Amino acid sequence: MLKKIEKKEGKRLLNLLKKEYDIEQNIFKNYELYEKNNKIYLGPKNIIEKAISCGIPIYNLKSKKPSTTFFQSFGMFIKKNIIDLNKEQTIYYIDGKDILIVQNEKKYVLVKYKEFSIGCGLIKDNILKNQIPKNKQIRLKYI
Amino acid sequence: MEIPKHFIERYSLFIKDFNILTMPLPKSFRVNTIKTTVNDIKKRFKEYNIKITQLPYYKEAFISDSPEIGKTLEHFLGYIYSQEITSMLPVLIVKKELKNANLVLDACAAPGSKTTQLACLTKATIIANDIDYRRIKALKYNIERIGAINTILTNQDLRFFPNMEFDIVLLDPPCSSEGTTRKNPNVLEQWSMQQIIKHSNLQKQLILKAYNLVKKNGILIYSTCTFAPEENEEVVNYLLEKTTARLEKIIIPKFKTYPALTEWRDKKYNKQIEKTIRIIPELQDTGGFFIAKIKKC
Repeated sequence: MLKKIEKKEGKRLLNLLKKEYDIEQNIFKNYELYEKNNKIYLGPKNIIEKAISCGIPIYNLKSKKPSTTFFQSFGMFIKKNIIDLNKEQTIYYIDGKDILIVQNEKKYVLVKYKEFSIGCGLIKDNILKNQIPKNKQIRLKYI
Repeated sequence: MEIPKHFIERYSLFIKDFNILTMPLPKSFRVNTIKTTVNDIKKRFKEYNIKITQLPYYKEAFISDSPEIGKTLEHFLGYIYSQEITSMLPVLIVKKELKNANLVLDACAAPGSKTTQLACLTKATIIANDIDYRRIKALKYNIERIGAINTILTNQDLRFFPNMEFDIVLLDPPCSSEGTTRKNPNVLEQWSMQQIIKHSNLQKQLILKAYNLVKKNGILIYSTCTFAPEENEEVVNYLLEKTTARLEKIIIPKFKTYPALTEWRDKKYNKQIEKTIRIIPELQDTGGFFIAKIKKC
């Protein structure tokens, strides 16, 4: 069941996003946070009892992973933990492939190509592990 | 695809060119203004050398013959949304009313074309409802892809939807889909009068409920992608008989429409029905559609 997140817990989550990605909290002021099956959703201020979902998923509490949907919508406000790919790497990444990089610290990052927020990635053992959901992966021809 | 003789006899009053129903439909898409702008899309497609043509009656919408649209970065990022032209019109008709709306219902929302279009045009909260749980998955996917935060999903039979008051309700109910043959040729294989009557009966129940969910002076848009008057004029006429609803004239500048029928077979409809519109494929190289704009009084 979709439930509204209490103020205190909501503040903790937004602080966490601020700490990890230096994202301004006031961009969320017109919305509310909700939880269902360990997923945090950003949705309208008020929902109805019959709601089965709302808005967009932004964070997974279990895996502590921000969603690609969240990064694609709010990437322009993120100032920290960003990895920039070149054209060829971006084509591979959107096609669902991992990318070799020279970073070791395990963390989830915003993957960007130029000004475009591509989605979420996981850096681990010098690899950018692909986090693009399978149903969104495509072989790009125009970029 | 062969068009049944009975189908031709039935609709020759308003369709002159039946061949067009067997031709592929031009591909069209809409710019997702939540994430980007029309000018940016024009610029990027020019760089890609993909020809797109802006529609004169809807500047956020384009047609293109290119099969490559789905292989662009813009498609991946949800900057554009593929949608049939006729399906964009019900939302376009309430563009002005959407500016002051607080609560909007897309009553039969899956797969989400109209919901995502609404989200581009209003800051109102949109409830996207569909009875079919399997189709909700596609609806959810499209809402997330477009980044429509102001949406709530429900999975209700509209007839039993909780009593609420909406500024605008869109009702695009299940129909016999006769106007979609250019996209789904098998529609005609399953075509029968029994299907039309079955849909018409359900649509009458749905339009009454949808009207009850509109607040006073609010708007109900009723649309179908079918030609059958039993599913169009007759359903709206039924609402006019049962309520004090009033129809509003629909004007889409630079878009040709066909007048609605004021009588069909042995039935005569309320004169207000003239204010509804039919979209006939041969007029503008589209699918077939019917739209009524209804004011709650």
